[in-house]
Amino acid sequence: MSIAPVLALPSKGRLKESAETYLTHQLGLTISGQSERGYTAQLHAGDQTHDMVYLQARDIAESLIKGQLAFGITGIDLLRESGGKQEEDYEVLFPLGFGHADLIVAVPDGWVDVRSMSDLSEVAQDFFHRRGRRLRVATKYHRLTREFFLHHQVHEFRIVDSSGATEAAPYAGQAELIVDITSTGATLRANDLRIIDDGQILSSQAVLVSSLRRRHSAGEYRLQELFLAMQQAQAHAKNCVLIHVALGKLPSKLREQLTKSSIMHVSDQGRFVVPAQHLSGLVASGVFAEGHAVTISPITYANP
Amino acid sequence: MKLMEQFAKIMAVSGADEIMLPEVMPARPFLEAAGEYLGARMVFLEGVGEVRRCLTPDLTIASCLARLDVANEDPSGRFYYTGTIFREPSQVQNLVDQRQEIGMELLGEAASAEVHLGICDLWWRLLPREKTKDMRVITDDLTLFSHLLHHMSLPQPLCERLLAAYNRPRQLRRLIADGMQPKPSAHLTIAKMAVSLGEDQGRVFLADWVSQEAQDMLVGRTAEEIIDRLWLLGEVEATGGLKPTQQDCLLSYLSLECPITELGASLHARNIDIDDQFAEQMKEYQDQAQQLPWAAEQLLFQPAGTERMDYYSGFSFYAVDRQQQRYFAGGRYDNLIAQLGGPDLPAYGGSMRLDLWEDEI
Repeated sequence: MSIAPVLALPSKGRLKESAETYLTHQLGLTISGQSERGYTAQLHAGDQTHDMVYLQARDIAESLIKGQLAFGITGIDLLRESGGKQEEDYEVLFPLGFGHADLIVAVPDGWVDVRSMSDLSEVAQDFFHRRGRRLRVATKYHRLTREFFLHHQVHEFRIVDSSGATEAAPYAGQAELIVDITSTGATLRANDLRIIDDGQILSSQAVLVSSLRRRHSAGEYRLQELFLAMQQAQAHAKNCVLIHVALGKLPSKLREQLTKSSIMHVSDQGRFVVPAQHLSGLVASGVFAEGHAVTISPITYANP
Repeated sequence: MKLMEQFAKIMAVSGADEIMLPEVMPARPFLEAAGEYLGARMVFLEGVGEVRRCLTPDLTIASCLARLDVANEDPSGRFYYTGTIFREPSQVQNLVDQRQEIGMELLGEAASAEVHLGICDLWWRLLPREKTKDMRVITDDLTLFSHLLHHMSLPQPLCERLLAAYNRPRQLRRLIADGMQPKPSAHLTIAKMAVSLGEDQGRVFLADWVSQEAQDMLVGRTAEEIIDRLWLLGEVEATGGLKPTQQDCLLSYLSLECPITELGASLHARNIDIDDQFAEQMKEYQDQAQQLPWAAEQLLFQPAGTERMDYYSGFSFYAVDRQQQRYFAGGRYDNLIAQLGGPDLPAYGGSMRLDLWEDEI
C-alpha cells in the first residue's frame, strides 16, 4: 500500500483558495481534517477518502514528475520548468480556468532600442564585447529562460537566480533584465520594465495533473475517472440550459421538436437539456408561448 | 606503452607541468566564459547567486582557473591534467554524464600552423593505428573566415555580427540566408534619419532622442551604448545588408568539406576569391599538413561545421569516427585567460576522452 499522498494542492494564496473552491464547488468533492498547520487534509469523493497534502506549486510539479504524487494542481509554467515531458512524465487532465499568467521577458523601459528578441540578441553581443561579461537575466525559470533565449539566438547571457521580487533586480543592480510571470503587467510597469514584443515565453494557468511516473492504485484510478467524469459533465453542461415544461399543456408537435433539440431529456417528466444556441429556434416555433408553463434554469453538470 | 604513461612522458619531455583539478568549482566563471550554452548541461550544487557551485563541466576553463590560482604573476607555459567532466544529459533527468579526459593547455602560445597541427598530430599518434584508421580530424579556423569577410569589404558591423555567430553554425547560416537586413521598427526609422544627417549631427540627434525617450529609466546600459548601437543599425540599414552574391559566396564557403591539403583547389573550384592573408595562412596549413603522413586522407577542413564553446577564437579541431563519436578536440582561446581574470594571453589546447580507450590505459 502506498503511503504517499494522492493529491497535492498549492499551499498558500489565491491559488490555494481557487484550487479548494474548484474541487468542492465545481467537482462536488469534500475536503476535511485539515491539520493544525494546514499541510495535510483528506479528500472525500463518494465513498472514497484520499490523503491530501499542501505544497508549494513548484514542489507539486516536481513531485508529479518524480511519481511521488498521483495527482496535483499546479501551473503549466512550473510543469514545463521542471523539465518533465507531457505524455511521458505527466498528463494534464484538464485546465482549471484560474491562475492565468504569462511568462515574459522584460527589459528596462529606457532600452529604447530593444523591442524584439532579435534586438536583444544584438544587444547581448554588443554588451559582451564592450564589457567582457554577459547580460544577467534574473529569473526563477532557469530552464525555460535558457531554452527561449537560445532559440532566439541570444547567447551572451547568464542566469541569475531570483528568489523573490524579480522585477526589482535591474534597479538593484543584480541583473540587466528579467524573465518572470505577470498577469496584468502592473508590477512591471510600476518598476519601469517593458515586455519585449515577441518576449512571451508561455501562457500559463492552473491545471489538474496526473503523474505518469507512478503506478496508480485502484482507488487512484477511480479518483481519476471521477475527476474526468465530473469535468466532462461540466463541459457538457456548459452552454446548456434545463427546460422544464408542463407536459399536458404543450402540443405534441412542439414536444417532439423540444426532444429533437435536446442533448438529454426525461420527456415524461417534461425536463429537457438543450444547448443555449437552440433557444432562439424554439422561441420561433412557439415552445415558449403563453400558457405552456415553461421554465428555464442554468445547469452545472450534464451526462448525456 | 600504455596511453597514459606515454602521454605523461611526452608532457614531461616538453616541460609541461602537471596540474590537479578539483571536481567542485564556482559556477560563475564557467557561465561567464561559455554562457548558458554550457549552463544547460551543467550539474549545479547547493548555493545561490554568486556562490553557486557546480561539478566541473569543462576542463579547459577548470584547468586555466587552476593555473591562474597557482601561478603567481605569469601563468604562461604548458601544463597538462587528468580530470572528469560532469554534465547533465539534456534528455535524461537526474542522470549525470561523467567522462574522464586528459588534456594539455599552452598559455602564451601564439597562433601558428606548426603548433596547431602539431598538437592534432600528437593526439593522433597517441592512439594505435587500428583505432585511427576509421577516424577523421575536422579542422576549422575562424581567422580564415575573418579574412574572407574583410576581403569582401563587408561593413564592420556585419563582420562583427557574423564573427560573433561563428561558433553557432545554425545561427550563422540563418543570419547569412536572411541577408542581415534589420527588421522595421520605430528605432530603426530614427537610426536611418540619424545616418542621413551625417555622423556628427546624426549622433547629436540620436543623443537627444535617447535622452527624451529613455528619460530617467536607463538602467543596466548607458546612453552611449544605445546611441552607438542605433548608429550601427542605421549604417547596416544604409548598406542594405548582404548582397545576393555575398550570401552565395559565404554559404558556399561554409559548405566546404575537403582535405586541408586541397583547400586552395576547393576554393578555386567554387570561385571563392581570397586575399593574400588568407592565401598565406592557408599555405602554412597545407605545408604543415604535407608533413603528416595521415593528413592527405584524414585531416579535413570544414568551416563552422559544429557548435563550439563561446571561448574558441581561432583554429579548432576534433576527431570523429564513422559513427560520429568524438575522441579528442581542442582549439585556440585567445580571450579566455583575460576573461577569467588573468593577463591578456593567447592560448591553445585540447583534450582526449579516456573512457573510449579503457583497454589502452
